Amino acid sequence: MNNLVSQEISELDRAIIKELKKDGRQSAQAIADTLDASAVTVRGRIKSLEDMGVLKVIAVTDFSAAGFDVLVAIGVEVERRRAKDVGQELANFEEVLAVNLTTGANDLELLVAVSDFSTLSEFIEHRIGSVDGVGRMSSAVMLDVFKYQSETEVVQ
Amino acid sequence: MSDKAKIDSIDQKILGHLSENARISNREVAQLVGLAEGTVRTRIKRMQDEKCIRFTALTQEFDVATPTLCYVGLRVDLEQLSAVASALSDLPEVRFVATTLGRFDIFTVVVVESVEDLSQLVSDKFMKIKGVRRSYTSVSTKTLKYDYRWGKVG
Repeated sequence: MNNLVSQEISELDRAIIKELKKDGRQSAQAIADTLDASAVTVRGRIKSLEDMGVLKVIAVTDFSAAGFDVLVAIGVEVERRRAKDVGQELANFEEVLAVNLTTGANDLELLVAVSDFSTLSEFIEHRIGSVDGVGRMSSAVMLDVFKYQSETEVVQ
Repeated sequence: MSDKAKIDSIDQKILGHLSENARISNREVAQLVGLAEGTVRTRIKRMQDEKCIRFTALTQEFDVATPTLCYVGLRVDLEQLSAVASALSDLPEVRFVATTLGRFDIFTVVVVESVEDLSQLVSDKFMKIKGVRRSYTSVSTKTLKYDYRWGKVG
């Protein structure tokens, strides 16, 4: 799918996307001026890319500004149940920002965001703990986030 | 981490729409949340100025033919912790880096073409950074959820 999509993306499309990654809310006219194209073309390309489902221009809110001061990467060993089913159930929680099926010691890798440690403790005990199939968990509490480049979606 | 300005419930309402589509006009947002256009404009500007939000484009991975998401946890000499985390942040394949407490000292998320590339990245680049002692890798076979609404701004 990715190969197919990349063939349909022109140089101009890439340049537009690059501009939108810098500032998603700049006007089509501003992008057109930077790229030496017409505003009509830019507007049209943005619309096509959105319609193709390869571009979504969004607001990203800072964890801390949103009140999420505690971020934890939790690895989960699944017992007596399909890892995918357990993962899908865990994905329903707002606090669980990401769920991936993984190879290795853990079956699932979660990214959890909460406001503080007492909330974390309650969330793990009463919410994650209530999901059938969740076995041993190992966590890494984030102290300092050096890089968080979240603009590219890996479609698997 | 918590020295950052916070957003209130009205900001949240505005962001509820902008996190779905940031290309809609202030006028449309104003209509959707029932506020004056000027109020919406002022609040968006404040949130941007205070680095609470940023507007960006979410796309698929175009430049990697078979993008493979992998987790690499590291044990490092603690006096090198920040230096290692900075060095890792400079690598383009590395999308996420945080120093952590618990199962690893540093937790990273990387995107590579193949499992072979992962092994090369770890052995040729990660393990050569001064202070890195051991790495633990794991490959994602499927993403069940990824909430793009939150991230690190500024």
